[in-house]
Amino acid sequence: MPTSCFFRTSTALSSDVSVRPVSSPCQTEGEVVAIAQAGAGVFWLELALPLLPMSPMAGQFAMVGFKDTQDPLLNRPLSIASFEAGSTGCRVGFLVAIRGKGTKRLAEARQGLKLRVIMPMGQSFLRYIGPGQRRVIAVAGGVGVAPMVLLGRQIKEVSPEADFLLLYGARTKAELTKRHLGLADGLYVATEDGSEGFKGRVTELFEAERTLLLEAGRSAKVFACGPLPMLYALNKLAERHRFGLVVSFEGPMGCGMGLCLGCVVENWEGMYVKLCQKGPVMDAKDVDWERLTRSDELRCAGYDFKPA
Amino acid sequence: MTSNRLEVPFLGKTIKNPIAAASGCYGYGLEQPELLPPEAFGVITLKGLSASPKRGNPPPRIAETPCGMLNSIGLENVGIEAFAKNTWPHLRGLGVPIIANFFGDDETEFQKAAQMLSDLEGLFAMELNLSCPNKPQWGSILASDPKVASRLVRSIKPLCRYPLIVKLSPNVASISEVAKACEDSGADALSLINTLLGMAIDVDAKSSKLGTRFGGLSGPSIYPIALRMVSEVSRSVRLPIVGMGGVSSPEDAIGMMLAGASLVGVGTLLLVNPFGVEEIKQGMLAYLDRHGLEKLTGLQGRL
Repeated sequence: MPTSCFFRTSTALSSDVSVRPVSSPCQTEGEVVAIAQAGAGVFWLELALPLLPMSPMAGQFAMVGFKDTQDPLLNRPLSIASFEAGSTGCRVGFLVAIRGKGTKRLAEARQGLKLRVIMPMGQSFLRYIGPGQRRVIAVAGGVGVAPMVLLGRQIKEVSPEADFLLLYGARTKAELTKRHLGLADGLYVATEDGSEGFKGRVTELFEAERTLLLEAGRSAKVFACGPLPMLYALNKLAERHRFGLVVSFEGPMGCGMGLCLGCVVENWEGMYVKLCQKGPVMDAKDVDWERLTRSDELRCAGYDFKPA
Repeated sequence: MTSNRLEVPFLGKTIKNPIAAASGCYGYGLEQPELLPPEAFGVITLKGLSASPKRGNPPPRIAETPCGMLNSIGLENVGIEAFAKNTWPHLRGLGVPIIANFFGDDETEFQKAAQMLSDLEGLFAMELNLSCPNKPQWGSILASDPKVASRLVRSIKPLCRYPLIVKLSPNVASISEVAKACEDSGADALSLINTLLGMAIDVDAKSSKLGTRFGGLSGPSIYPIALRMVSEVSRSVRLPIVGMGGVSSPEDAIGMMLAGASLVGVGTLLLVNPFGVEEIKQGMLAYLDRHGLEKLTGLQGRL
């Protein structure tokens, strides 16, 4: 269910159409060209698509669904982890965690299966990076690493002099998925059981290495994607040490197109805004984190939230 | 669409194709101008509007069910005033007939909404939503009691500058009786069905999967029920019908027309497969070819 939180935004109501989507998505067909286990409960899915009128930007998502069945009916929002355009078509890659009926069936897909794809959608991380950005630190938890892979590749185009560091955490080594994602330079790994890299949470790794990470001063920007408690903990650090934080929320959606009003979250004025269009990437300063942690809606959203 | 083979008459107007965007699944018509252009539809029914803005229900608002989905959006909307100021000027010029769906928490609010919409220039029709999720008890009486429905339609109709379509709820003992009551009270057309009241439980959390206890079921799973109700109502009244409920293929749409619908509404389909509108129109043309028919007019039956 939708990640529920409280955002500060100028939009009065989510159904105010004076706020248009940043990019117009298109609908197409994607053929499964690669599917492989990428870690415990996580798989890598790669689709071949016809040429698209526009390339996705890191942080944007695709709605992916089945053409051959009405059960499951709805498309699933998947963060785009890789994108390559050729002369006749393109390839898009996703890191998918098995969460329910739709993702379970996706995991059982065979090569050659044709899926419905609507993309690119939502706000991206790139809009938060200026040309003079010297350092970008990405903090990822679990499948939250997906948009950071694309970010690592695209960041050089936006800010050639920026260096990109990725802090990537999972509960165990088995849940890390770097083998399929071609992650190498600037990668710092944390596992909660210490089976690889730093022993502890990725936020603890960040805190331990903070002085080193933020050496470039306040111009370092931190981007994060992962479970809500991780984002909450990171925001605490951002407030304490005054660095810029941009977060991407995970959350189920009905249509992803701004039509169903199913993925709404509350803003600072107590109004509902659409996560699919205002998010999933947002400035942490726009989120009312304290209200967020008191919300009953968190329980509904499936989070057993215990602030550290 | 260059051909006029899909043209159908509805409320004194020639509609270029029988596909109607159902209320609540196509926003205010401007959300996805490229992915799902307004021009694809014969008519567009806007998301339900009320005299004052409505916040809607707390999330989670959507739960997937087998071949369908439950929603408890709660008629969130910006209110007619904001709509008239910010959205209507952009919608008007599109050349697609626009139907404004409206509701109220009581009779006075319904009247006020009807008046405010009548002040707009260039609407095609108004669709009265005969159920109210904000006041569920009143909503359920309104939807199911022919006398109450009749009284409301009688009090609204004189305020409407545009043809009045009444949208019927399937959560009633006899939809035909409510349909007849609306016809006798001056409705110009009927649309059916709205969503079926349903529930989904998260057994691990031991709670509703929605932020509210119940929600409205839509999608392919309700199509046979919708078809039966359209068929039933088409034999009970003379009013034109916008048939909807789970339509997701050309066959579904043609079936709706054979059951008695003049126009066919698509809702949940738009959320899942925006290409579906074009697929239905192409499938209808193929059907006409297969059956040696020149035009869609005349296909409408009363099966």
